[in-house]
Amino acid sequence: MKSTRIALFSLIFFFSIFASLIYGEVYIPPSALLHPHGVYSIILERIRIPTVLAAATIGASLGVCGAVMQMLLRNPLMDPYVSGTASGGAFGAVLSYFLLAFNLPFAFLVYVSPLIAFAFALLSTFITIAIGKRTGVYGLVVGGVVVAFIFSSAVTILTTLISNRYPFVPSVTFWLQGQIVVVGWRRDLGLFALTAILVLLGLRHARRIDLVAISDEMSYARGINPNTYRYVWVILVSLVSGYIVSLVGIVGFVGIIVPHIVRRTLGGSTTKLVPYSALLGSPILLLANILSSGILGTVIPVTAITSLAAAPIIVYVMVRGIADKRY
Amino acid sequence: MNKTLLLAIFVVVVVALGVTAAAVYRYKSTGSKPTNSSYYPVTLKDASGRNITLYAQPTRIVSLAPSDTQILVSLGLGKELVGVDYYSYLLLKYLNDTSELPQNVTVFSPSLSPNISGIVALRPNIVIDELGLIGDYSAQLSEAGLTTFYTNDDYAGNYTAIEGSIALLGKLFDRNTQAMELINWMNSRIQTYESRGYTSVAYLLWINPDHTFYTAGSNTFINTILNLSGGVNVFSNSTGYPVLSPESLVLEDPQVIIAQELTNLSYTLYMINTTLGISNVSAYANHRVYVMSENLPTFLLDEPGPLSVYAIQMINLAIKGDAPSYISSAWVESELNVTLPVF
Amino acid sequence: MEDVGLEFTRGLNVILGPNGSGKTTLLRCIIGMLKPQAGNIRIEEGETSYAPAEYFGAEMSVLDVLLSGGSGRDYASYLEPFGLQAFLDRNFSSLSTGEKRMVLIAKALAEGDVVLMDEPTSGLDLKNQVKLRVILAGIKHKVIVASTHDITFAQGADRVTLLKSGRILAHGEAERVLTEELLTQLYEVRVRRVSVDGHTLFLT
Repeated sequence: MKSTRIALFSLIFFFSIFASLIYGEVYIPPSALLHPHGVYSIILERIRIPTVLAAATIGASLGVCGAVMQMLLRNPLMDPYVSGTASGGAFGAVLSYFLLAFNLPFAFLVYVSPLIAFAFALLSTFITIAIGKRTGVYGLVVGGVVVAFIFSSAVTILTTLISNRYPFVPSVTFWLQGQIVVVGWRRDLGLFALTAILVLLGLRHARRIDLVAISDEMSYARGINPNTYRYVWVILVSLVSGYIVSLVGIVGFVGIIVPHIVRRTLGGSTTKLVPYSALLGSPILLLANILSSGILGTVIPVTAITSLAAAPIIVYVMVRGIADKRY
Repeated sequence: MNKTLLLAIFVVVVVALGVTAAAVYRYKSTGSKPTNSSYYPVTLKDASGRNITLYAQPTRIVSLAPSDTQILVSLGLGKELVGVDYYSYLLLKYLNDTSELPQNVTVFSPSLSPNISGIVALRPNIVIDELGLIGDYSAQLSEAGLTTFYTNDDYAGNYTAIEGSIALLGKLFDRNTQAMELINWMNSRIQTYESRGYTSVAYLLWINPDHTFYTAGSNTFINTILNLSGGVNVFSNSTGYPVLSPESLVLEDPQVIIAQELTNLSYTLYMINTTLGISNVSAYANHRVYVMSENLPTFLLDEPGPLSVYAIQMINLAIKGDAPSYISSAWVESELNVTLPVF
Repeated sequence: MEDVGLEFTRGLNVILGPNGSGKTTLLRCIIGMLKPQAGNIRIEEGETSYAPAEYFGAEMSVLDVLLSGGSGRDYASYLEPFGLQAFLDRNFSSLSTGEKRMVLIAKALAEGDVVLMDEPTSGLDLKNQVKLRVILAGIKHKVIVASTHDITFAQGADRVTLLKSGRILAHGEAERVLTEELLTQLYEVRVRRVSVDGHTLFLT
């Protein structure tokens, strides 16, 4: 029974990769996949394939990040942006635009805006840890919420000022929306590396993460300082999610919903959550991304679609799962 | 008399005075030109479908849209404009026509939301704006007791609609003759610059950090200009202002790309150069990419007013290959001799 | 806590004290969660394990709970006395409070050579309390340190430490330490020790 579920997830994974290669803003007929020619080969090679790989990797990453954070912080509603990474990254990116728009010193930073976004994502992480340092589990959560509020407000102020100055220009909400439409090979390398590290470490530490989730005292007894352990993981998760935000903006919901589905269908130990959140996170994001990336006539922020798509799944899983507590 | 009663009488008197003052203020008609003509009152339907009635010739007008300001100045109403938005004023500055406005005209600073108290303080007879620009704030303007009249030329699919707007404003302000002259002026310019052709053009309104871009679809004014300039909008199977990805750009393979400047030229060129797949687009390979600087060139193309006829000429020059790759305000001024006619 | 000088050896060591006397604090110092301001704590040899009074009812199988932390020890011999073999596939969070505690106690006993337990009998029904006492009495090769305020549980210990308001009142064999005077002093209520049918009972 469990193996059929795993087989099902794998099937969905391969199907979604195939579907994403074909369906997108430009429809690429399956024959062109086998024998790429002309304009299709350019689109496939330069844009479509690296973007599909990016979306698959990002989906897997966000799923794993969400799973680990939910375990370590003992909160099933945690997402990878727990340390305020999302709003920190968005702020960094909008700041570089702000400098450009008003011709301020350092306006050249806009050329490296992903780097600035990443830097601020990390900064927000350190502020969160500093705020939450003393008070264990909840300290981190509260710290993250405070940091998120501060940076979100700052983003709102900056985007309003920019919009006032440039009314012809569409609102600078790119990073807040999140869209995985165009990612090139160069950026893919970083994604692959970070995701591989994340998943491998997650698998190796799965049992330890389980223990830290259950009890701080038991962790100390086994020689693990749970607070330090949490901070290290928060930093790693923030590295990965910060990099993702700097590339494609805030992709929400996947980190929360995918671990839930895995928990309900395959069990809630980190040993299951890590590999299967990766396996399930990819197709969910890939399929949502098909709708997001222009097939409906215009690019639509992907988070709007992930939440719509995942909601019925989670409702079904919750309704069925309530009566059945066996794995 | 006891204290409570005294207090009550005091409150009633204050409230009564307040209400009376407010009523007097609201119904006071200010600055109306006494006229013997029987032209007014006039009732017209504006672009939002409301019937607006003017009882006398307005002498205090506020315009919040550069396209409307162009029309009003051209109809000879420049001196009646007591307040304009920042971009209207900027445009007139470029044309060296600020003298058409009164010396002490109020220029509102750029903002997405209108400065309602500032407008009310000018005691205008009427406020003109574009529907697309005022959006939900129209309710607030009405609440503040202002008479408003809206145009909707941003979504004018052709010049007929714009000329209809001009005629309407001419009727509103008893400037019918001038409106006809303006329309004739525009038509003759259109005929002069108009050319039909099949050059495929991609118009990039704004490029996002991930190289997706905003463009103009078939029902936009920009699309009309492209068609009149001898081009074909490659994205005319979309409507409105969609966001598209480089995939579409590669697929459509336009012969000419026209991009609006992203606040500064080197950043714009950088974004275009690093777009994935761009080297395979004909326009890029053949060096047919034109960047329009913000300010005058962008105004001409983006504002659906009388001056947009110059945009036809400007785009036509780009399509023919007779424009520099950076279309600057200076070039436009000297090459096209942009002048706003005043009747 | 003040001037705590103790040695725990193999067998069952019970720390007996009223609420708030510092029992949990002492245990937490031993595992390194709290740092003593002066002095040191030494564990001679072996692994430490802990069965907590409060924990997060995680949504994973009982087997995964046992395997968490990756100690690699064999749990089988500790599952049987507790009757937990049938529970392995069940969702930990769906167990009753008593069942969850027994899982964590079994885990601690399997994993540690020095086993710390915080109020192990709380939440257990009478049958399981008896079961636990029997099991603990049979384990002589581990150092078990259990905190409790349950005098009956303390009776089965090899050594008892009386802890009151952070100070040690007495320390030694159960027989010598569990006296009427000391217990009355400890709990600040009159405690009487009676013999019934050869069994010692404590009454208030």
